[in-house]
Amino acid sequence: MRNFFENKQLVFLVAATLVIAVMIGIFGASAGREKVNAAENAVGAAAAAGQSASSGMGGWFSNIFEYFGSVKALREENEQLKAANVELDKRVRDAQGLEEENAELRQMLDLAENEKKLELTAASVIAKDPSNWYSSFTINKGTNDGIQKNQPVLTANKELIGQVYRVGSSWAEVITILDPESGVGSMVERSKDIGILEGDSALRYQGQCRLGYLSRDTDIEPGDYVETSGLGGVYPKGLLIGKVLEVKEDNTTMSKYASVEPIVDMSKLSQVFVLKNHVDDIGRLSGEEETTTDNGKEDTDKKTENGEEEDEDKTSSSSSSSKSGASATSKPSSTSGSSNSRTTAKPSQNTSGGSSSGGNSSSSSSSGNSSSGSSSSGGNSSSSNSSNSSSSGGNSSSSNSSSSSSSGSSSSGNSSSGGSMAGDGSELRE
Amino acid sequence: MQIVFYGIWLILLAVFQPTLVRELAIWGIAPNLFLCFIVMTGFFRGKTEGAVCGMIFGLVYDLMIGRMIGVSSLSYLYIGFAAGFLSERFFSGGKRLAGTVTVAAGTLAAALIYYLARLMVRGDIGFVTAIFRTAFPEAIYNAVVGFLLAFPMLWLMKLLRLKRIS
Repeated sequence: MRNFFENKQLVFLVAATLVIAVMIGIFGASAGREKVNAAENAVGAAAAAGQSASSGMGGWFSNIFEYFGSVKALREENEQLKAANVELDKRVRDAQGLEEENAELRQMLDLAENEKKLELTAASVIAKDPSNWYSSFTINKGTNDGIQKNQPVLTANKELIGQVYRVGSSWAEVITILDPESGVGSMVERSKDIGILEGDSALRYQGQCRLGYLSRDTDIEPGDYVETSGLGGVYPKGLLIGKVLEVKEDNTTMSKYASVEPIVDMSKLSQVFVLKNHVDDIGRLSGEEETTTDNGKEDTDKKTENGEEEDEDKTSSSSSSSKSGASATSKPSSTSGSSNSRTTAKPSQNTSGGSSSGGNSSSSSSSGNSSSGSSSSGGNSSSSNSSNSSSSGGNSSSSNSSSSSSSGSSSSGNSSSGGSMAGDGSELRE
Repeated sequence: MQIVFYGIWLILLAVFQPTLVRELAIWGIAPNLFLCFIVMTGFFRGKTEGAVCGMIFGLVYDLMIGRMIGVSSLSYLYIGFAAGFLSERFFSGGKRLAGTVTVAAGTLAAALIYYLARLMVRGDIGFVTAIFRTAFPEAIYNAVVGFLLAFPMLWLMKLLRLKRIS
């Protein structure tokens, strides 16, 4: 025993081990903790400052490599884009005509303007997960900007990225849907069968996740789109997640599972949006939303003491709202991670329990960008109280992927698609 | 001078690991500068500094990841100590190439400890994925980066007049 205490290195090792063991016991598993501890916050805040600058440098390096390897491809892409632009211009004009016609029809029908604001906060990705074990990233907004744990994180096109996992004062960590700790209540868009989308340690390297807990008679096929089901109380219903690549049967659990490729390319995210509304609030929407986007610099949303939000969006770049109950209107995306958009026809999910107006389409063209106009046709459906009542055939959403260019945090000229967010209040409240 | 040396490196690693280094990922695997630095510190500065550096840098690394706080700290403590021990015992003052091999071995050891901890806490990862898909590629990548990292480390040590163990 005496020899033991004479060996200082051994004493240090044992003492350090004990201290760390106690620390692991206290802070070990962070899942479930509402707040980060002071040390985490300090490290995160200090690192965030340097990471903001460094992430730009990292992007610069990767851009250099990409530039030299892609000149030829860019030329070809340029030709294609020019051709596409002509087509899109035509569609925008068509859509504008439809929009005006729609407004007239709405007036005639005297449908109630039942709008709700989606309160989105724009944030920049400043760092990625330092380890190879998880799939997460850090954004430059924290509790000072009203970010809270578990808030959903989306692209500008309202495609799901993940959720807020840890929040510091000026930063927040977001886990993507690829992360093994992520779980999302999901639904096959075509058949409305539900399951749970989970991150998978092995599939993560292929940029895929796993849609599990599907019964054997689930109607799911490769190519189906998966969206949030609204169950679980974290994500609102109707956010597009990804596309089914492969369906397999799990003999041990007598169920099916599918590998799903997210719509969003998680490795190329630079700008994201945090949805600050509580899911219950969105759930009460009746099929139409208006999107409010903070750009962070001129954050003017104020919260009243009773929790209601008075939106006084003074930002010059506030998004223009569009109301489309049935089809997705596309817009110039400011999220570079957003990749392929749906091109197949999507049934309407206007299933609100109140007064809802479906099938309205609009397109807002933003300045400078050629937005792909969406075409939607008719199909104005009246509301129904039943959930998941698909309505109004013939809604086609032709949302092409749009150019992403803005490096700032504002999203000018966004036109939100209410249809994809059409929530069902009764379903959301479990 | 030691504090300046480690302070500079801590800031550099904390800033570059989640940003610039992640951009260098190949097939989803990026090198771990923290681990490379800890092993090389043990190698050049001895087991005591290796252990202390491993514990502190590992703790910062844990806080940055924010999942299982303390696990990396504990494993890096022992890896830093072991690197210093090997250096003192077998390589007399730390040869760069020997340090590179130790970095690879340390990466595998750290990955194994992390895998076991995660298996106990969550059980959401398979052995094959953890070791063959994550640990081995990272070990190779770390070995290369560790070799390169030794140059600026030794340069700064020389600048600050910090001696290598002998």
